[in-house]
Amino acid sequence: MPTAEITPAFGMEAPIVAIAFVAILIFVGYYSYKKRVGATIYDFFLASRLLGYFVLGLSLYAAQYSGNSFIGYAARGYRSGFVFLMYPAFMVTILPVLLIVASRLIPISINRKLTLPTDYIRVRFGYGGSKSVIEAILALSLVFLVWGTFVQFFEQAIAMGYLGEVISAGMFPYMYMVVVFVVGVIIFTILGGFRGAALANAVMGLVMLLGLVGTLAMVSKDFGSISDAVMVLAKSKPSLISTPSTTTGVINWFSTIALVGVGAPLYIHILQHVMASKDPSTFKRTFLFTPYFYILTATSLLFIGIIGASAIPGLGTMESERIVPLLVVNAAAKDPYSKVWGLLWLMAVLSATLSTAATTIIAISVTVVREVYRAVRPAATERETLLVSRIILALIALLAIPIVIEPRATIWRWTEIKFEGLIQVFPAIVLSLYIPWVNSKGVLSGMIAGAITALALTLSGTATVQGIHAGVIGLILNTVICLIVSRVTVKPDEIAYAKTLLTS
Amino acid sequence: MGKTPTKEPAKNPLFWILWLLIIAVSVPWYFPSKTYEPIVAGLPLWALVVLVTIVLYAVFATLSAYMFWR
Repeated sequence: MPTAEITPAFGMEAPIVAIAFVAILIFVGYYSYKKRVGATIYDFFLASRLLGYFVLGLSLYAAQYSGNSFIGYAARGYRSGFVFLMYPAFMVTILPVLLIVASRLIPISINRKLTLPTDYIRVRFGYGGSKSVIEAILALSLVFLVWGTFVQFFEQAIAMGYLGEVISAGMFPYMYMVVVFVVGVIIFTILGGFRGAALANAVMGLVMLLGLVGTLAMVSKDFGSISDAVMVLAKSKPSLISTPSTTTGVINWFSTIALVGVGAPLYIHILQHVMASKDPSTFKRTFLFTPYFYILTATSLLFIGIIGASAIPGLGTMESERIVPLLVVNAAAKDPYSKVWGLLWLMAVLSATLSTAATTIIAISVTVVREVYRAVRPAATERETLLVSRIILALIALLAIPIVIEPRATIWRWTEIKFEGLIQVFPAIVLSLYIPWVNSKGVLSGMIAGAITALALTLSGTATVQGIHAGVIGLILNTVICLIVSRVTVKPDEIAYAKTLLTS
Repeated sequence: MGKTPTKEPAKNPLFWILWLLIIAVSVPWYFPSKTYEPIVAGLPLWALVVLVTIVLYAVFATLSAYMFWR
């Protein structure tokens, strides 16, 4: 198997640009903190519903596209070719699902002053059912929500490890980069909070888009266009430009759209963005531009991966995870213009990675503080809670280090694994928004059945059955059981309560 | 079902029909398997069709926010 040659194209300019860029972002976060925007818990995490639609849209975009996309998904394009056109398709699927969630959740969040998905679950199922059932739903939801969001966080550290290693031509090893990154994220988020992260995310969103389009142009100039790659691959590896080879492949395409399209809107930080919307029209306006940003980004990354497959063929699975930085470094070694674009690309990936890492880790810490710490110490003051949330944030971030030191799977596989669990909260958060007779007993029974199915299949090494993901099978069972049990056990006053909540 | 004074996407059958249709067309099940010919505009025709559908999908997302949600 050929190994990729790493040309040391960048000297000190790469670390200098990276450090200067991160310093600016930290300043943006710190500035908002100095302005006392982070003085209370509510401010710290929700930016007081002040985010305008452009900032909100860019921030959501930057939070959805991350180091996984820039490093791992392009690498999946390298391995699978055009079949991974499912990538732009599942990314854009997130938007109608978000629309369905947001059109109900935003008015409820504003009316009831809800800020977290678990707040919604508590309010929605807090009437009628027994206390232990609602506690169990909250605990299980918490596990899935935190799990999915935490994997999303540590995937960023993996991406940053690969990136730093290749850009520095091996001078900064993977492990070193992971540690630097995690510590950097802790400082960045503690100084700025959600508003800092959201403002910085908006800046980062723009840098990402520019850097990405530039990278595609640079890679096309130095390694040939996507059409050239098609011609090369038609001779050398036609499977990469062909339709799926089996019916299972087609079913898997549908399943992936369902897995990510339903899963990604359920991240804690994404729901937090939705719940933080000033009003429905602010959120609605983000749809003027985000769908096009989503497909442009995903398609460009896929094309970069495919061009990589024709330019640097034969990389093994784990080695191919480094394909994008490899292309950039090799292009930069060829001409000075590409070197400038390469530095912009570096800022783009830093943006994608840091924005996602910051928002995910904040979302996890606030959820854990609210649901666990405040339950233990209900009398805790705002000040104490904020301090504890920062400590928890740092601890959770550090917890990622031992997990990613030895990345046991590709970034894409981690993505699948995180969504297998995360989508099991779909009935609790989405079905319950529309069906008033969905009750706590139904949600709990469904969630347990779905989780056991997804977990058992995954642990037994069955990632898919006939192309359908373990998590999607779990979700189908979850939904069916939820609906049946709810229908049988629901009481009229539970329906009346839910109707009032959902239409208020 | 609760009555809501506002228009919501999930309550509109047209939203669901268009959505399912666009997802169905965005997956190339209707092309023969393991083929890449013909190549049109530098891309395999099937990939081009999928790409165009994805662009339409994005337009659908914008229109849904404005047409089906008030």
